[in-house]
Amino acid sequence: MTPARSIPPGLLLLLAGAWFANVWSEEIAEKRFDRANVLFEQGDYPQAIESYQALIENDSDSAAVRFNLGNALLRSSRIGEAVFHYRQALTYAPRDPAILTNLKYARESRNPEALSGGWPWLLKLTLNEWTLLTLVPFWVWMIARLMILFQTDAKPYLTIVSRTAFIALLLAGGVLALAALERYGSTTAVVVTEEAIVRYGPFPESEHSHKLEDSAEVRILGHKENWWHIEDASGREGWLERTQVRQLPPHP
Amino acid sequence: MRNPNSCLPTIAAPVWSLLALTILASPARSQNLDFRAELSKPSVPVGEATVLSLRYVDCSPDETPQIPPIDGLEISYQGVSQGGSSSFTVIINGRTLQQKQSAAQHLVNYQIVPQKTGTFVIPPITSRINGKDYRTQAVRLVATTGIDYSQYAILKILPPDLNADQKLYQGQLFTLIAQLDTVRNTRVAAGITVPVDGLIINPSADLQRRVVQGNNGAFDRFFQQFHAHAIKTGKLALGPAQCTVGLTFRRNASNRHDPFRSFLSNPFDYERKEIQIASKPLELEVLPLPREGRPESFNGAVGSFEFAAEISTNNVAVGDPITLTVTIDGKGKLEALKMPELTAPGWDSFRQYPENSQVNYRRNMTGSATFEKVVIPENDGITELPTLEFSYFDPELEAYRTHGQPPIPITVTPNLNRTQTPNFGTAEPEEPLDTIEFHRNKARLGRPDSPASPWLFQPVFLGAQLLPILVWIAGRLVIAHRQAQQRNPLALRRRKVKALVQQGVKELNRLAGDHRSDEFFATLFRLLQEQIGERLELPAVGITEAIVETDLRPAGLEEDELTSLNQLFQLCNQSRYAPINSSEELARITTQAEAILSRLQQLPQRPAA
Repeated sequence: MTPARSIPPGLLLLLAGAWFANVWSEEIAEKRFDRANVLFEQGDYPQAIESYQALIENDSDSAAVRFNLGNALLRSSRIGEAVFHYRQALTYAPRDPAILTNLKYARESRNPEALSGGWPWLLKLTLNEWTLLTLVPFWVWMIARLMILFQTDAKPYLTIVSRTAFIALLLAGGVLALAALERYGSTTAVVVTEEAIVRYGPFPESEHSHKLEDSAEVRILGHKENWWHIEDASGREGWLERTQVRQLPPHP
Repeated sequence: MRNPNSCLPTIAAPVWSLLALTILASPARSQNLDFRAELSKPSVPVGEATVLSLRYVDCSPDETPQIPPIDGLEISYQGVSQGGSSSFTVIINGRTLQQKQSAAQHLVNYQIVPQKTGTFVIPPITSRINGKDYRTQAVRLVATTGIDYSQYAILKILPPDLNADQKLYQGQLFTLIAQLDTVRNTRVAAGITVPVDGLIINPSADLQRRVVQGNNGAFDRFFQQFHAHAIKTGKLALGPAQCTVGLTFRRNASNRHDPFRSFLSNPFDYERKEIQIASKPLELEVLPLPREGRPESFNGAVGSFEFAAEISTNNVAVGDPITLTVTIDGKGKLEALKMPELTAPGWDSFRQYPENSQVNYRRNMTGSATFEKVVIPENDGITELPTLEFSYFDPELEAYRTHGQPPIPITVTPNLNRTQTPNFGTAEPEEPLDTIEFHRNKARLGRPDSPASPWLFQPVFLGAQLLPILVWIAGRLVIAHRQAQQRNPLALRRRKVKALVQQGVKELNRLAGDHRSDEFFATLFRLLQEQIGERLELPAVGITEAIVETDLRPAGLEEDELTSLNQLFQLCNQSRYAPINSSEELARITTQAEAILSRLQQLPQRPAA
């Protein structure tokens, strides 16, 4: 009896059906995406935004959807939201030059003061790239150690290689830890309303502290119910309603 | 009942009278109340202070008593202090009895400084105590000829460092020096202060000290330098400068010719005298800035300056910022300088933002003030940055001067994209937005996906990195095991004998096939010796069939196994004179040997002795 004959015909039918359904749903998503793009080209940005958001809600999220949604929001002067979706797009395609350029454009169009602190150079490479840089000396070190165990002839050379790789591993590991800390050490958010009112306390009755413009980036220090405790680029603290900001994903 | 130890009854009545008189003779002594006046030093040189204390024992004044003014004495109230115990002396029948008693004492102090020589009588001072007036005794103070300390320290304010015929103008920065000449080893406690009116002065350096060699020997010269400028006009008073100096004098000049004096100096031979000294005041004539010739662009700068202006870029789009940097370099009060006002024709086409300024002094009141101002062209018809003018009053030339910056050509292009107002919160120049190429929409949806978490947080990835570590650990364990075995001679012998037996059995089979009886039995004998020797931890060469009974039976070998082993030994012995050449027989012996060798290997090893 051959293996093909062992698969029940019903299961084959089911797999084929699933494959066709998948292709069909991708086809539909592609058509919806095209329709949203047409709306965008027609200058109907509100409708285009709705269409892109519908795609995201229907599990058709991708870098392209987030990028085009960001563009439509940017054209609608909803810069904070555009920044949010560009950052989401980067989680799918960290090195996409179009996303990086438009994100830079969106951030500088209002030119909000950048959040202070941290090491921006750690964001030049993605976390996976930093991980890869750490893995190289790690594997060289491990292979050298294994060869030292079983091959004694080249031990002096292998020892030099092993020690060099170990030092490189320590350095790269330290940088990797910093890179992870830079991304996951604190949570940031972006203001998505035209003008966000920062208050001294987490209540609508609390006194106004100051205002933040659309696309201003803030660091989240804590939360209480529907309020974020935030610190802005100038170091001013206060409370913002959650609806006024969107939490940004960590840098890829 | 009378106390036998008491002496009071034995004192005669006259003594009591004397005691009463003594007490009554004191200035104010009634109702156990003691109030008197005391001088800390009844004789002082003119100019030195002594303290007059009004002592209240077991009482306190209702109000602070007033000392009447006395010609030649400078009297100032010093405050109240608490005293200790008091005592008074009684003489009874020629014996002196000192009565000491603890009592609360209250001292009201006055500092008295005689202004001229002579004997002064401070009259009885009246004080109200518990609603009644009491008086002290009169006190005598002798003022002797004092020391004129001013001859040891001379303070003066030097006139401003202006040229001979130069005038001083309002707002002009000038240097002022207070100079103090004193005897050597003088200490100046807290610098020199110069009270001023209509001037602002600030010390420009710490108090400096220099030793100067004069005709009568070396002396100390202190300098305090100030930067000053007038904020009023007219005749302004400067000083008198004041300072407190600590002069050092030799206490006793009698040992002046002591040969050891110079290098066995006793610090107690010296005394330090702190005195307040003051300079003569100085008067400055400050002129107002002239009205004649005052340019429109003058905004209060007084001094001597150079002026330069530059821009960050001369090719911008409408709405893009241009940073205008104005540097004013020269001598004068730089903090008071202001950015030249951008009022020339053409500036109204630029949006202007408040400027930032920075002042850097070099030395001698020279330095530079830098202003950075952001201006934004509001239309693309602008072709130049309009002219800039900076005017100041030069006190040396006694005239106004104006520096001008000619128009700077710029190119302003239309900006179709920009709709937002730029924010100039950050000083770091950003890449202009117009140079960023905005990317248009992506045409393909791409594969719908969910954002993957970084490798660093994926268990499979982390697990894969453990693989070389596990291999390395396993390798280490294998090597450690081998090394441990190599260090154990018993285990090493067991392994060698095992290998020898395996090889030997093959050799037996080969020899049996070749009908080589002698070599077959020699090999068999050696294998038996090696295996039994290894089990019994004995040298292999010493093993004979005799050991079968003595050692192998107690070791647990069965009877039939012992018989078989004995048989093999006997066959080995017999082979020397009755060789067996039958291959079948040799093969059977090989099988028998193989079985017995295998059984021997299973025997427990005899522990080492």
